[in-house]
Amino acid sequence: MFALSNAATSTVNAAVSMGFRAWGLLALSMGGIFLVVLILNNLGRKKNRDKE
Amino acid sequence: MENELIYQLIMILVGILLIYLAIKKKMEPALLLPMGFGAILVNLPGSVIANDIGILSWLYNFGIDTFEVFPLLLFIGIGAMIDFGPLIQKPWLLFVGAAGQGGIFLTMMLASLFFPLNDAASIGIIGAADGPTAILVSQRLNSQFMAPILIVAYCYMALVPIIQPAVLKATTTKHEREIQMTYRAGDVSRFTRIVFPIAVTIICSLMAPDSAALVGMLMFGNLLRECEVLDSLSNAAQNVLSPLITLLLGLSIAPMMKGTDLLTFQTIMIIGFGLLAFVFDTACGVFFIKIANLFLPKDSKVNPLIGGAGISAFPMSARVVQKVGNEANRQNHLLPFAIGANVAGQIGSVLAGGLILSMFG
Repeated sequence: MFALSNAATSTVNAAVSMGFRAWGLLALSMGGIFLVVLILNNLGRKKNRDKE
Repeated sequence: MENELIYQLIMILVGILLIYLAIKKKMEPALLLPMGFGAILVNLPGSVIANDIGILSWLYNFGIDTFEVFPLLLFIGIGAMIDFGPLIQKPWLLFVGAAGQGGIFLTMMLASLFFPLNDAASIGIIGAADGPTAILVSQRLNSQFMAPILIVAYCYMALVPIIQPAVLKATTTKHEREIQMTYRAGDVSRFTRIVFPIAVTIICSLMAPDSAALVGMLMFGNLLRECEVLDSLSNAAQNVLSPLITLLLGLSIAPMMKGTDLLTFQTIMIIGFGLLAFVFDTACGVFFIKIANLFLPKDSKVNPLIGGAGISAFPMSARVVQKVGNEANRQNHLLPFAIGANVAGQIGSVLAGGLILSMFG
């Protein structure tokens, strides 16, 4: 059967943990940008209304 | 010695193939043409052009190895080409761009079964569908497979119109592909367009300090475009800087295209993992929308095809989504959403590269 050596197992573990952590942080960063865009859009709309 | 000659001959044929694909099939010609010609140059028996004193070596050292000038400058050109308007109007597409990077991380995990972690991460970054990011990450992580990673990344980017429709059709039902979405075009204020690249740079640099250079150059290019006071520079970045740097990038990769280094079993594995990365990217985006649809009211379901555009291959991926959606339902007009997801994928891929670099310290 397919078996991994200790070194290979630790590499895979590190890759899995790093992968999910990076993906989570990516989603979090995108969430931050999302909030900023919402605020900017509202500010933009408010500015447009004020102009009118 | 005899083996080396055979390898050189094969690489010269590969070079001719790359030139053929660039000219005849118009696959990424700005990059594949110089790469193909460079492959022929460095594999000519007795060639000294890639030696320490050769021009190609100098280009590689200056543009990629020591100062990383080429990939970063290229980002200015790419940033100047991108209109973030569709994304700013539909900011929820940012999450599609995050989901669409799944291919990078899943491929990295699988590749770690066969490669050391730094090489696995560099192979995973093929899924960024973004040449400059792939170069920068594999170079900073000291991957020995930079040349095959770059070739595979660009080849698959050119093959997006072939790979993605198959994955999109395999991961969605006809009923899902038929979902119609209405797009109400709104105005994005100039203020928003100018603040957006600055805000994104600050957020990304705080979350992943190593992404500062990548995101910074991309967003600086975009600021050039949106500020409307540097139109000539913006046009130069789009029409002169970007193709010129791509050309130099193609040539500077050539010293790494020696047959003895490239024609290995690992290269074949990288080709396989590259394909897997693109398939995972597309599937992750599609499944993200499918999951979101479970919680959305019946009349505001999102067409899951849009998830497939959450990668960085701009604007090819968006066009593929529009085409597949249109085949399922003639009334479907998914392009504005797909373009938004596509530019979100551009931010996502650069950020993913920065996050991987940050994690390696």
